[in-house]
Amino acid sequence: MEHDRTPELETSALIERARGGESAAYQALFRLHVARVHRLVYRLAGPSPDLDDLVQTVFVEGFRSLPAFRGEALFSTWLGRIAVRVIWKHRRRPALRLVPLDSAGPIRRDTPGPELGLDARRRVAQVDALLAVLSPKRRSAFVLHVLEGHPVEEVAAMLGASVSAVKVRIHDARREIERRARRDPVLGALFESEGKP
Amino acid sequence: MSCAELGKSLFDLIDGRLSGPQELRAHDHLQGCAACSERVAAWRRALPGLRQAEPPAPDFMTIRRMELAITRELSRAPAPRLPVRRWRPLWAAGLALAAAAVVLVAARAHFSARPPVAMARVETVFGTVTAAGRPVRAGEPLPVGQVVAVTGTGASLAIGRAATVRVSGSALLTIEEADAAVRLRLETGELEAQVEPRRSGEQFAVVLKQGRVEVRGTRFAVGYRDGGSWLRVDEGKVAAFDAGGRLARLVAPGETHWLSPVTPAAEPPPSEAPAPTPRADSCKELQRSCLSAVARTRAAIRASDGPRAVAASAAEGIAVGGCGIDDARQCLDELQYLRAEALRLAGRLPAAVLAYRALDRASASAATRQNALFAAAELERRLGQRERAVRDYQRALAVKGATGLREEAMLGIMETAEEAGDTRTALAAARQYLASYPAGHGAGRARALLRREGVVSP
Repeated sequence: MEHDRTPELETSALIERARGGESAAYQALFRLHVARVHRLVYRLAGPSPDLDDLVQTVFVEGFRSLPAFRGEALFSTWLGRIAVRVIWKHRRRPALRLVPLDSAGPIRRDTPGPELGLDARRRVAQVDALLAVLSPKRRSAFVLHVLEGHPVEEVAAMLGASVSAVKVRIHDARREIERRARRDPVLGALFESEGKP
Repeated sequence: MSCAELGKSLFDLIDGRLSGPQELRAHDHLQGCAACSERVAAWRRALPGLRQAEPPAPDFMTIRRMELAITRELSRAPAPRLPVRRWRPLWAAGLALAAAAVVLVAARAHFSARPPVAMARVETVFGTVTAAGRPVRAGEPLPVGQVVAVTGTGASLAIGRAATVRVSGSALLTIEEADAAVRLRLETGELEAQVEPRRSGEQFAVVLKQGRVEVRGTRFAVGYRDGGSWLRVDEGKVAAFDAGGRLARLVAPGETHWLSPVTPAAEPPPSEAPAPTPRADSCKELQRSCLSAVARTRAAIRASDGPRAVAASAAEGIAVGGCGIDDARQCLDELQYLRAEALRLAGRLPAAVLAYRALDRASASAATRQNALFAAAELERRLGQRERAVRDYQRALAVKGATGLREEAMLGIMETAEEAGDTRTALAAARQYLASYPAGHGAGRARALLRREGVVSP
């Protein structure tokens, strides 16, 4: 799975402008990357009422440490690394300090809403259930490598682990998912095969 | 290659990330191992579905709120230490009060003596507006005394001082007066009006075939249906007069009054825009059109293409009057919000303010109303319309059932009122803020304001 690198060209220019103190550049960077970060945070943390707060926190931390971004990795990868750190911190300390978003509104959703088709919603729920069986470390490695398409070396850098440790986590995650899919016909349907994986 | 080795590089194999020799070894193994072959095949089938299973991207209201929170977080810094006035001589306070009284009297005299200016203008058009047979575009004045025809999805008109009229769909109306006394005659169609409180000597009235309505500052809607005319009040009170000019009723918020002699008793009063109830399949069609417009508008906004976003959000032909499908209503609210965002992106700020404020309606969810009012207030503040901004912040704060922007709205009131020189409102907001959020991110500013004004902070 290849990354879409097109926005990175735009991102480099925006980062320069943001470093120059241009607030519109921060907004543009946010808008350019929010969907991707939101997807990653959702996959790493699962459906959660804190999802939007977590996404916010990723950007706040990212923008605060923008002077330290030297462009050695893609900006999206760098944000991904921050996202992993934010989610781990969140697991240790669930209460966040940021302004809580309104939970009363029907448009803000923590789980897939009606704008997705029924099939798509079902599929997202199935993937949620699959990922939920994994430990946080295995989940992070599986999501980053298998679903987000980062090479193992990049995942290792993002997780602060060795390449071999990441390979083991991905392997273990795969085995765990296969076991779960064999037991659960609904999840097994994801593999669409007569014989289970 | 063993089964275990293949298992560790299974995803690299599927994604084509193995080197040539590694890939050859993997394929050699697969040819002789049915279990691994089946495993690879199963994951090949499953992976596209797993990867495509993405949660819905955050909607634009959520994005806006995140931006706001991020900006606040980034700008968070210790409140500057301002000099505290420890001593204030009594004579100085007395002099200040006397000066304020003189200014107040002068201002009142000025406003009461100032001749009213006749004004009617098209703010936004979602179709066509013609007056005396000539098309009138957004920003252009409307003639008084001529029949104005609105076609398409509708238009917003600014009439007189601080009054906005939103025409839904096609309508025929005449602006009979547009100065201190505003009088519109609605011939066909329906309109929604937002009228700021009238000053002494000012009036706002809409004349219908079966009577007229008069307000002193409120939000209401009127229109025709089933041979009669209706009035729905969203805020404040509206006086409804019958055709003989007699006061029929003072209509309260949330109530609907029929001015026609024949009241369709069996039908519930219109909740938003009364129209013949569409069939369920046409509602679904509307919903599909709406979702498509939402997707196009989102794409254009993401591409920072303001004009395209404005065009995509025009919602030509999309109206949901009578649709009982919640998703359709939510979609239209979201489309309306996106339209406001698009107008803002296109730099059409006054039109964006109107579009945001149009979401302050009973059918919209509490969160949507609060978001929209807050966004309107932010823009009004930017445009220097501080009094209006304070009012919209206050409305956002008052929305029942929405708590997400309470803190921000209180700060908005405090800061904007202070900028406008309305110290009383600013101090009240500062106190309210500190009572609700003593450790909030604006607590330092609120305490500083109270100290500056010589008030002991709670």
